[in-house]
Amino acid sequence: MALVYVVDDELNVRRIVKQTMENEENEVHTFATAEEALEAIDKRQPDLIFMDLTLPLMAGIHLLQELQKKAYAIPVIVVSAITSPEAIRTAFKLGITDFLTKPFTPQELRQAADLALKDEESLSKRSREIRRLIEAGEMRKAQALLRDFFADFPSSPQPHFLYALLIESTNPRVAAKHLRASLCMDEDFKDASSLLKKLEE
Amino acid sequence: MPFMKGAIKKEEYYVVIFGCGRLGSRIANWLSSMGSSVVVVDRNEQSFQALSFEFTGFQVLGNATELDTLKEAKVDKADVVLVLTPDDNTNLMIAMSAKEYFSVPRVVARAYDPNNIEMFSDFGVEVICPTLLAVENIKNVLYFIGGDER
Repeated sequence: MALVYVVDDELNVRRIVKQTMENEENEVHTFATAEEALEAIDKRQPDLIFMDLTLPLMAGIHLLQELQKKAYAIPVIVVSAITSPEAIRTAFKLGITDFLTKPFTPQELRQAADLALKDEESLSKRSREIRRLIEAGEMRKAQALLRDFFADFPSSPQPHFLYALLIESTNPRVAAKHLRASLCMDEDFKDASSLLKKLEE
Repeated sequence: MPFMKGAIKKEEYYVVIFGCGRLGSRIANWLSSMGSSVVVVDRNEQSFQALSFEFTGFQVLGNATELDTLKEAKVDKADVVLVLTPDDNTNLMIAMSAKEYFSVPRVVARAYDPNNIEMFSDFGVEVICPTLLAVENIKNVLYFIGGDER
């Protein structure tokens, strides 16, 4: 069961997303404005957010920027009637997981949610496994897994950090480069910044 | 032909309704209350006012004889398409596109003129003819005529 937040000013969209996600036995909370949603996210982080881009007061893009500023790693699926390539590109640059156009079918909604949740789960699970292998000194195995990890999550800071962890003793200069790349993607990534500090010393 | 004969078995249906008049809006409200995902298409924005407050579906404003409107309503993903505009020719055109172009499993159209029923049926479209339904109902009301005593 996942905790899902829905941010949309249209009542019918809030209802239909809530209904579909509740049918999958998720806990769903809905918000009509970005401000309400941000307040709730600060109190309790959800596993997944569905949001519109056209919201009253604070627009959806600003909400995405706020989430990025606060370094929340929550998968976001945008559900919008906007189909301009610029808006879609901007939203993806701000780290959204998927973009659904209105109207959408319950199947589309469920598929997008499943993928987003699975991605999130597999990212942290695989990250933990690779870290365990590195710490156990099984470098060849870790390197093999890391190669696929890079391919599957190219925009995540995790693969760069783990690669730096893998080569920090053999090639600290390249490791530092990967840590900087990781910090470009997430400047609040504490593990990466402390390892970089250690290497620079 | 009964409406959901050979029904598609799954939890939620994605239904697109063309025409949000008295019939279209009522069916949309009912389907929405049954938990289906409903999209209503009409070229007149005011028509959507006939939808109830509880209606949870989507509204698409546009001319249903244009392919772009059908695409916008995601007819290609529909389990059922209901064609309920007040014009038989428009209904035939939309129903044919839904059936032939978008391969929708169930297409149901309203045909006012009983002479048009065959044309719809030729394309595998299920037809509701208000004229024939009314004739049947009136016959039932006038059961005492013709010695059909019950």
